[in-house]
Amino acid sequence: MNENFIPVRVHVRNQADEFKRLGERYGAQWTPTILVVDPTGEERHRVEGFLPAADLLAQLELGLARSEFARSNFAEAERRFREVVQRYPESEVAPEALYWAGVARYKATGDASALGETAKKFQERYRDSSSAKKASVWGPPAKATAPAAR
Amino acid sequence: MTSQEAAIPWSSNLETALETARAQRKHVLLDFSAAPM
Repeated sequence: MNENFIPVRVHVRNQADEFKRLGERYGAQWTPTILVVDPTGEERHRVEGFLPAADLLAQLELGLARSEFARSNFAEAERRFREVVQRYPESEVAPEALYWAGVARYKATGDASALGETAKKFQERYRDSSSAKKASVWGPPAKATAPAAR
Repeated sequence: MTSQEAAIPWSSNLETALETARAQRKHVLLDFSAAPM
């Protein structure tokens, strides 16, 4: 974690004034609330409530990918989204990461087949996820066909 | 947060952390906590 983050903790009781100040700034109304904040101070991802360590790590890595996406670093975002799927395939965020990996590839390349490929992957895994439903409109990847005879 | 809590070098100053994050091209993990300290 230290490789990617500078960790800051604000305690609701021991640092009540700072908790109030930053809580108002970021709209934190519950503990634990964990934010991935980019170097400009912009919130990029939020986790509210306790999660086991592996799930939290998956969320934090998803947050890094979302941050890259939000800053239009689409190739790096795709790499990070796919890493989430690869490293945490059983986590709740894996379907979301798979979805956004496809979007990031499309944004990086302009190649719409990336969306179709993603829809196809959702036919193989995470079929009941909300991300699969979202990707279903992209349909299966278009197959190369000979032009119709005229 | 996790069982690895002791290994995390928590800071309490967001502004300083953001400066460090900019210099080191990292993000800030901001934890609003009520955990025993």
